[in-house]
Amino acid sequence: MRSDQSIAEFRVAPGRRLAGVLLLPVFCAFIALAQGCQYASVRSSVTSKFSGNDTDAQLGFWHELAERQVTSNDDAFHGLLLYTDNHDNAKSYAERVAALKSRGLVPESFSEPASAAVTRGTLAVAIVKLVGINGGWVMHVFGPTPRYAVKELAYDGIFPPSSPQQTFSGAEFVGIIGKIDDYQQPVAADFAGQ
Amino acid sequence: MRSFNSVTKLALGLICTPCLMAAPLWSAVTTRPSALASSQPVSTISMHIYVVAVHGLVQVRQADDQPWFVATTNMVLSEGAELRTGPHSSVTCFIPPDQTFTLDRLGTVRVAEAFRNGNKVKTDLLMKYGRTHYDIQSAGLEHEASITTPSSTLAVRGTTVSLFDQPPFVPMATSFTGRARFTYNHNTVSVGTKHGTFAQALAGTDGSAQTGVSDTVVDPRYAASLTATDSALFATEVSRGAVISYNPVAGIPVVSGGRPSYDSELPQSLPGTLDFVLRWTGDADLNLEVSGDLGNPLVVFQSQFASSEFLYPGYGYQNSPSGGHIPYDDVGGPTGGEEIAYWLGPHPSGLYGLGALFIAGVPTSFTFNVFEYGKPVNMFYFNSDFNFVKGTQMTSTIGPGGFGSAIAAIPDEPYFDGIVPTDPNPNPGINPSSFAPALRAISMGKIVPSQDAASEARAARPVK
Repeated sequence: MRSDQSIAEFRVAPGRRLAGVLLLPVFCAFIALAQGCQYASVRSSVTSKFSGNDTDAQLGFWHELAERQVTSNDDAFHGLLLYTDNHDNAKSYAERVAALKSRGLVPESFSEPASAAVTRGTLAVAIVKLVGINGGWVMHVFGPTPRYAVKELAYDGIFPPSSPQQTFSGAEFVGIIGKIDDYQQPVAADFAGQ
Repeated sequence: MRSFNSVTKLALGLICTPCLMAAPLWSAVTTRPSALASSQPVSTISMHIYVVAVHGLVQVRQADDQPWFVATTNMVLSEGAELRTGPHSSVTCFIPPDQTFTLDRLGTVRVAEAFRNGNKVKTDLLMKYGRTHYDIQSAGLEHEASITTPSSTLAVRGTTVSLFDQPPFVPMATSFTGRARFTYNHNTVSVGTKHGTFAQALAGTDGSAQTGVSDTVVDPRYAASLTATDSALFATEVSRGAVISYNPVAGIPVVSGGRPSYDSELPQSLPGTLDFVLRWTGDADLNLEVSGDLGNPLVVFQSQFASSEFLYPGYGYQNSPSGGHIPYDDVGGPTGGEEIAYWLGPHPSGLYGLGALFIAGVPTSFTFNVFEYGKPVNMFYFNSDFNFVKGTQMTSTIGPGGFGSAIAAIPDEPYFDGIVPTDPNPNPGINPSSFAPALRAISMGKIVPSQDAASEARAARPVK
């Protein structure tokens, strides 16, 4: 049982309490400014661990990625290149982004860091261009924006209903790549009853 | 190999025959380890798994602590073997004498159990994620086979099935022939029937039937999905320039544009034996409400009105238990709109209330009509002088936040007709002249309507 003296030590004088109340918003503002609104980031990318093009590295990449909590831009773009080309000769994230930009899969203005979690909108734009989904009249008129690309992919069953700001876990990203595979090879999907 | 037909299966059998014949040389049929032997009879025989087709990137390992190897055709595996695939890839394995499974793209599966005990064969595939197609021909053996994933289990006994379980999608079990048992979240449902054909069950549903219903999309705009009566109504609306669409939130077809029926057209276009009609002329969206207290109108009147039937366009209220139906929600247009509630065939007697709910737009005049077997029925309402009167047609005005109402006895009750005076102001209804400039000005919101827009409508009529 705590003594009266020790309890008194925990008591806060009214003046100090007022100061505390006044300081709380300042403290919160400081935390917000110091931390800011930032991307979820991935400390170690799977791509750096499995960067090769051999079978071991490719399968290691896919199935290690499926264990990760978040998919980074680097991993997502490496995965996209592996899916489309069956290899990724880019030596760095910058080369990977440049390769995707050269194909128009990623907008020229894209400048997110490699470790940032990939957004569904960014990925959706790349996928609709990759797969050749024309979409509805909005996509015809304004092109594949993240918002409508996500909606279109959700309509086609490639994405779950979601917003373009969300990200994917590693397992979800692998599942999405699998769905693209089904979309492009409907015979295999029919065989499996999908 | 991503497609697998009976010819291929025959070919697989031929391929595997030498393997089976040579199996004793490789000690293919071995007794299970002593640890398992304690729980299994001595006659339990571990079965071998033959890789019969490899497409794309496929690796295999015999145990968790073993390295991955590239899978090749004719490779022989045993219990505990794990396979994984890349994009555009698949691997097909054959477990003699009658089981075949295919792991499709981007998946991983472990053969946790594959042994035979006398005439009984037990197989358990642990699929971490991906899609596995499983085919058991049940050639005189009793099978106890299953595909287990972290969230679901598909139990198979002599059938052809497929299990898909990969985030972020909902797991799905498919039976191509025969019946399987699909367990998800402590709930087990049957997928398919014995000697049945294709059936699918989505995780979390009550089985194939519910999955089938939820997968069914019938666009209610198309004639084939409409009753003959509704189809005729839509055709009439379209002929007047209306556009038909569908409101997925309210769950009802939507009519926009067009115009209401004129008084002269209305009797010919009534769809049912009992019809409640709301028509309006202004650029507004009104909704028809019909509520009914069923029974003898006199008895109902004396026992106070208590609604037991309710009809509203959409949100599940477009159909009533006694057969009442509102086929569409008319959202109006520059020349107004029309909504109908009707009963086909026999309809319940009772005291009915009609309501016009203002949804959007500008103030407009509106008209109520009730017909039973094509004959107009008296309605009882407060007229513009706030006298309670009766009439077979009621025309009034409505604006934002407004609600117009009337009641009608079905069948027409002479007692009420006798005690309630007839509306001294004849209601103009809706005619081509209703769209004369004066009324159009009201409907376009250029003039604030007076208390009695009907008088303005009358003023707008051409002088004979």
